[in-house]
Amino acid sequence: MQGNKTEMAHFAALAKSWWNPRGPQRILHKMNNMRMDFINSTLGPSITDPNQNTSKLTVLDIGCGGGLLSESLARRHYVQSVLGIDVTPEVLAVANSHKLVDPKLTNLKYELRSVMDLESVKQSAEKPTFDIVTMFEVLEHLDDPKEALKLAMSKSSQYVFLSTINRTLAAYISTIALGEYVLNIVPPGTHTWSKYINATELESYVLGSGVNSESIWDVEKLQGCIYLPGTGWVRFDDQSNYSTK
Amino acid sequence: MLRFRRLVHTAIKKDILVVGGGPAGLSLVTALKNSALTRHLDVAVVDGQPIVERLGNWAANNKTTEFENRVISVTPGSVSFLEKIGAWENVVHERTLAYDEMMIWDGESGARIEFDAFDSATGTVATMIENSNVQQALLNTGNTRDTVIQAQVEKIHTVNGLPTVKLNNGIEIEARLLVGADGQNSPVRQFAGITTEGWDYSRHGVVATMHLEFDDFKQTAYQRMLKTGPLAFLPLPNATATLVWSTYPERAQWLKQLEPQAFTAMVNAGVRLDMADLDYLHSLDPKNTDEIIYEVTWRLNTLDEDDTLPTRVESIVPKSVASFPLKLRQADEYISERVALVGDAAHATHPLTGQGLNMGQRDVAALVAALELAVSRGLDIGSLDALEPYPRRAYLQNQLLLGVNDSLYKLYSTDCEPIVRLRTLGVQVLNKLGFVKNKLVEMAD
Repeated sequence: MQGNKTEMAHFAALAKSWWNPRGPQRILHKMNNMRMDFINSTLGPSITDPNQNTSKLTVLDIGCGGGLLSESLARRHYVQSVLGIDVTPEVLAVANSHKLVDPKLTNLKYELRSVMDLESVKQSAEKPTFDIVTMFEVLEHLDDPKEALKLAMSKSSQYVFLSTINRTLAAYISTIALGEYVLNIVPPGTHTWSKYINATELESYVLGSGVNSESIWDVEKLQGCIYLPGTGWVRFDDQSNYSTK
Repeated sequence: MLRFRRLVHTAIKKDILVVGGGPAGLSLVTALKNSALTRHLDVAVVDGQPIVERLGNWAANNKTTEFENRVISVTPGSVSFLEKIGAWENVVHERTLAYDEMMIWDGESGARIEFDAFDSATGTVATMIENSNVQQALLNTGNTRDTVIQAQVEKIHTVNGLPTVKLNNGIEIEARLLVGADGQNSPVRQFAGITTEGWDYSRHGVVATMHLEFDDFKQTAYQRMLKTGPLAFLPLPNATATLVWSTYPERAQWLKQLEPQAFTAMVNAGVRLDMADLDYLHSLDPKNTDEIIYEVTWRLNTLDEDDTLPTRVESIVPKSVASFPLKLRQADEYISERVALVGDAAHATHPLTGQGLNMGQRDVAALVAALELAVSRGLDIGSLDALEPYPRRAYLQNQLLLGVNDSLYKLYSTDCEPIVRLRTLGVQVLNKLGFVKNKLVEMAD
């Protein structure tokens, strides 16, 4: 396991309130809605329309935390199964206990594991990769995001959905200065400025030869978002949310 | 030898349990079953009345019977929602009437305002329909009827974190989402600990089904604003109309004691005579039918016939007279964890603008939209994350309508001279301003 120790201690402290939509993680709940909308619209009606009889997809959710996205995906009719992984035992314990609230979530499993340790993770003995790999708000917490991205992409046969925070002044003001210190929307220490990645850097990681040596990956959709207190999450084109194919 | 009884909790599990099989509850179930996103959900509706037995064959059995006194005004917005969920086609249309004009006049000054739907996009102001007709249409849409459980709710409590309803037939149902469509005294609302705000109007609404002297060629709803409250005359097919007369509780009691012929005379008086005459008539002995008819008749005979007023009443349908207290209520919340309230459980309004049922239909549309969004986002349908969009859509809109209704009501429930003059001027000006009137009609829709 190779999680960053400071980051892990920080997320352990958040575990208790993870599933309270009116608690400190409220913004994350709202963000999860936006992630699902983004995934649905990227996959398109041929997959998401309940009247379509398409084959079901398998999902690997990297950095699943308390399981907000994992549960959401596991409930969709077009998802066969979800494997959520995270490096913080406390949040995985939360994810596992919350899963029991809905007995229908039998297609959802969690594993204590780092993105750097994906080698042995297989969807099944016959199929080593997943149809969808998600990695939301993970890269900015890692010491080597480029390598993590490469590993994540190696585990996907169709889609990688990911998001991270732009290293821009606007992002600094909203996520660290305002978010952590002035408005206390997220606890101090949640974010580390030097780890933020710009959309262009991310795009070059994805399309660059180190990761994409056979040029099989393309950027399907790129979208930015910002949280405006009193309004909620607002989306705009061309910034930090990402999906690749 | 010892015998052990297994103390295992054996509740039936439902995704959504709706308490109350009135128009709001049945619309909700029908809409959920009609939506591609939510039709997979396991839904049931509980009602203490034998609604399937009573209404299942209503359409075939009631072609020629009298109109019931529970008649509701359905706006074009509600009609299109009922069309969308597939229920409107099952309505018995011969028993409905769409009216295209509403005439409101001031009982003190006679000032009028006419809402004419022809200058609005919708074509009709609203459609009059019996409550049972709406319910039977919903029951006969899709498999709504199969979701109905006839039983009284004995107890609602929380078991394993889920709301669990104990029925008087011994069955217990545990729901991921419990919906209160169970009326003004909503047991579901009480279970959720949601309080309400509001007040009683110290008025009662007297309803009756009336046969008119002849069929009105105009399709118009009428409201006369009296200081005791509005008297509404709402059209039905075949020279029939329904009455909603809001008045002081003691006057409502007095009206209910009248013989049918005396009641008929009093309705004609209420539409045409001035307040001083009405005050006098109410002082008579309610059992003295001949005197009441005599006192009304000679007074009406002194008036010139005014054909802009509703057609006179010939008789009333026996036993159709009933009354109910009028109140304004708004629940402080429409949702809590695993609970949502719709219709009268969430709010009650003065029937002045006929918005009660329509507000319920809007609640249902907003709740279904929230649940569709929740399913598309893979949320637990009973969680606050899933339910939050519902009150965001419905609460403020209802608050606004309750406020408009209440202000209109208060404006007209006085005979204080300066206020009468002001409201008369206001109505005369408003009557000339088509744009403002259209906005009012649209808002009510």
